[in-house]
This record gives sequence, structure tokens and C-alpha cells, in this order.
Amino acid sequence: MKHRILLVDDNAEVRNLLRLTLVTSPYELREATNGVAALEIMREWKPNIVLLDLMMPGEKNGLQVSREIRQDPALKEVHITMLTARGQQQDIQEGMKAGADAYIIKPFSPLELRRHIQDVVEVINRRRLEGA
Amino acid sequence: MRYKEGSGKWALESGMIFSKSQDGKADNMVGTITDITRYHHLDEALVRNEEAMRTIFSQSPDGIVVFDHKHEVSLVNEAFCRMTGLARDHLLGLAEAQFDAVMQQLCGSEARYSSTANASSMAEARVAIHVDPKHRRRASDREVVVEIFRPEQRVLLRSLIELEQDRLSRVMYFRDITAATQVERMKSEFLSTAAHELRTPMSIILGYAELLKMRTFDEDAQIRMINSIYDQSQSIVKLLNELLDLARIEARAGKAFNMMKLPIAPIITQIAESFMMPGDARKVTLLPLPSLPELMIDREKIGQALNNCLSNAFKFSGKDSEVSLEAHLENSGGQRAVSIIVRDHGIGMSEQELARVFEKFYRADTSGRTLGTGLGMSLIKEIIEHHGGDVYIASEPGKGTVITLTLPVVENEEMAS
Repeated sequence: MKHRILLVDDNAEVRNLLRLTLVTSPYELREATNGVAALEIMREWKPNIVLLDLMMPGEKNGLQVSREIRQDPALKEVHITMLTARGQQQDIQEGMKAGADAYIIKPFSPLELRRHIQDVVEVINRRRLEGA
Repeated sequence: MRYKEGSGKWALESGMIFSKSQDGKADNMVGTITDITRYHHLDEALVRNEEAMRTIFSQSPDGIVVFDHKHEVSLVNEAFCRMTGLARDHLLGLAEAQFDAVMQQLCGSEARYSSTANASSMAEARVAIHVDPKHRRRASDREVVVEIFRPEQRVLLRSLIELEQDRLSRVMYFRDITAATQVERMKSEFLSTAAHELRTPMSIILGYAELLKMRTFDEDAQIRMINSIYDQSQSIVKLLNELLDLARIEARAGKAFNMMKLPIAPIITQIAESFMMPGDARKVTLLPLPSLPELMIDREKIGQALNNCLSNAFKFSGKDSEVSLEAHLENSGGQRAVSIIVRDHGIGMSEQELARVFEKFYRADTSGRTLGTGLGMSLIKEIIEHHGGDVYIASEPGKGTVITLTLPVVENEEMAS
């Protein structure tokens, strides 16, 4: 089964960049432009990984989305990688507290992002084998 | 006692009768006259000193609270009452714990105000190691930041001073550092937003460039990515220029302005015309200008402000939407001013957006669809305010925005006569 990755960022160019970076690998990709839409898609589509922008306008920012994911029994297994343009220690800690598993600081290298996703997929696969 | 030549001395006289004659008159007496001039002067000095101290105490901008040997509040100065909104009568005589309770209420919770007793015991512990040669123990490294929320939000720096001769009484100082903390907070917020605004275009540039290096795309995708890299690089350059402009204006407090008495009408016309170049789809409707006086202005900066207003108007309205530019001479209470009005029929702003429009880096649309730095309005405001004018914005979502810049007319007596 292909791993499902949800890309959440309000900036269309960043979403395009994420998609182009990951599209050549065997993943299923979907996009969301805000927190509310992201949660809606997640509940229905059940992705394995979510790349979540921290600062988003609108009702729910990345932190709030992350907290909701961790509180939802149907979603709490999702791996969350936060994308943040705020590289300060305090912001990172806040993200981790909200339930993020990893974070990537903007600007990021597509190559590194792809490697990061590969690592995450390996962890998920191993966990699955152990669970089975 | 006064001497012949006029100088005087203070004396204390006392006498005693040894024996009396039969008719009751004093026979033998002994008496002393003590020169107490020195004591008297000391006394006067003390009174003077106390008066000076009392003035300093009451005029001090720092709040001061004195606890006596019974650990009760014995003195409170005006500044402290002003800071905390508490009445002196209410405070005098309060025991340390009661005083703490009052302060905890202002802070909103018990945890937010560390108790007076604690502060002193810590100072005591420290004193064993270090005794100030001036017989005074200053617990300066026991300074505590206290944030109160009532009557209004303030940040106070509390420090404690104990007197060596009088171990039990304590003086507590409260310095109001609200303004300084606010500036600090704004600075760090500004820096972190500036970094954020740079990181987003940087990720797009770095990302696309790396992808283009890594593999080949079809021509359309390539062109799209290259265009994007170009746009984002431009927005970084623009951001840097605007940041530098702002910093320059703020740092030199307007000294960089090249002020000259100039007629304003040609400047307005010129800027409007610059938007009406052939090939530029943007059309400015310049309403007929009335006769306008000369103004004391920096031609280039005013042009920049006007240009920013018009660019904004176009950025947030539809392709064929009309943007108009007009100017009037106004007179309010003898002060004449020229107001320049830019009116668009674009998307407008909500009340919340309007309230934040002058915030640096604030952008109502964060989708990335409209390029911009969020510094344009701040720049307009800085420029107009350095000319002694004001910027007014009225806006309605879906209807459009009206920006009014006012520039005062500097009335020159020589010119008038």
C-alpha cells in the first residue's frame, strides 16, 4: 500500500514545491490550504504523514491542528512533521508540545525533505511489522 | 546670648541656690551656662535633612514602601500609590503577609508575586557572604520582576534594601519598567516576523532551484518555476529595500529628509502620470486639482508615499477597477492642510484588518497571491508623519478603500505680507 501524505500550507508556491519534491516517489499526495480543511481531509482520507505549516491564517493554525490530531483517537497515529519559518527554540518546543513528531525549518532543501520522508516511512513500516 | 559685635550663641542655663539669707534672698548660687550652639545646628541640619529626604521620597518616580521593625508598612510614597492604584491609608500598618496578599491580587494570582518574607530571607542568606562596606546591604541580585494587571498592566522591578543598623526594617523599591519591556518585546517580535518573511520566499527559491538542478521538467513546469524564483527574489529585494528605508527614517528621525518649499500639484500630477504609461493596464483617474499652496516637503519621499498608496489601490482591486486621485485644500481652525485622497473600489478591508494595517509585516492576504512585504503602509505613515501630517484610512469589505494623506501648510509670515 502506498503511503499517504497530506501537504498543508496556505502558500500555493510552497504546496507546489512540496508536491514536486515528493511526486516522483511512490506516495499518494493530497493538499489542504488551511487547518480546518486539513482536519476534514484527514478524517476522511486517513493519511500516514502530514506535512503541516505552523503559521496559517484562518481558524486553525498548525499548532491547533496538531493538538486536535492528538486528541482524535482515529487520527492520533499520524506522523506530524511541522514546517516552520520560525526557527527559534521556543517555537520548536511549542510545536513538539502540541504533538509534532518532527519539524523542518524553512527554507528547506527538497532533497533533505525527501530523505526525511523516507526515514519516516521506514519507521512507520517497522512499527507495522512489529505490530503485526 | 548675643555678643556685642552681633554674633550669637545658643546656650543652656541652669542654676541652683545654695543658701538663702534671712530675708529670703539668695546668698550663694551656683550656675552653669552650656554652649549648645553645635547641638542646635545639628538639630537644624537634621530637620533640613529630613525635609530633603521627605521630598526625595515623595517625588521619587520609583515606588517605595518601608516596613518597620514590627514588619508592618510604615511609609508609602506617592509613586507607589500611583503605580498600584492603592490608597496610602489602606496600606499603612499592613503586616508583610497582608501586603503580599494585596500585591497578589494586583498580579492576578498568588504564584505571580513572591512574598516579602521570602525575599528577605534570601537576602539574609546572602548577606553572610557579602557585607557591603557602606553598612548597607543591598539585595540587588534579589531583584524580582513583578507584573501587575490592575489597575493596568505594568511591569515592575522590585528590589529590597536592608539597613545594617536596623536589621528589622526594610525598604522595598518598585521601578516601573513597563515601557522598556514593551520596546524589547516589540523588537523581538519584529525580528522574528522579519525572519519569517524572508524564510518563506527563500524556501521557494531554494526549493525550485534545487529541483531544477536535480531533474528535468517539461517546459511549462520549468518556466513556471523560474518565474516563481524570479518573483520571490524580487520580493526579497523589495523587502530588504523597504526595511532599510524604514530603518533609515526611524534611525535618523527625519534628518535624511530633504525638505524644500515646493508646489504640490505637479508632484501629484507626475505620480498619476507615471501610472498611465502606455502598456500599463493600470489607469488613475486624476480629478481636476484646485489651486494648491506650496508645501514644505521632501519631493522624493512624498512621491514614494503616493506611489505606495496607488500601488496598493491597484493591488487590491480588479483589473478594470477605477482608482481615483484627488486633492483639496482644507482649513480647520486656522491650520491649513492639503489632503490627497486615493480611492479604490477593490476588495476593501474588514474592521480587524483595518485595525492592523499599520503594523509592520501585517498582510491581510497571506495566500501568496498578492506580492508584497507588509511594510508599504508603515512607510507611508512614517513619511507623512515626518511631514507633520496624518494618514487616514476608511474601508469597507467588497466596496473599496479610501486613503487620505494630509500635509500641513507651513504658514510663512513673509510670504503672507
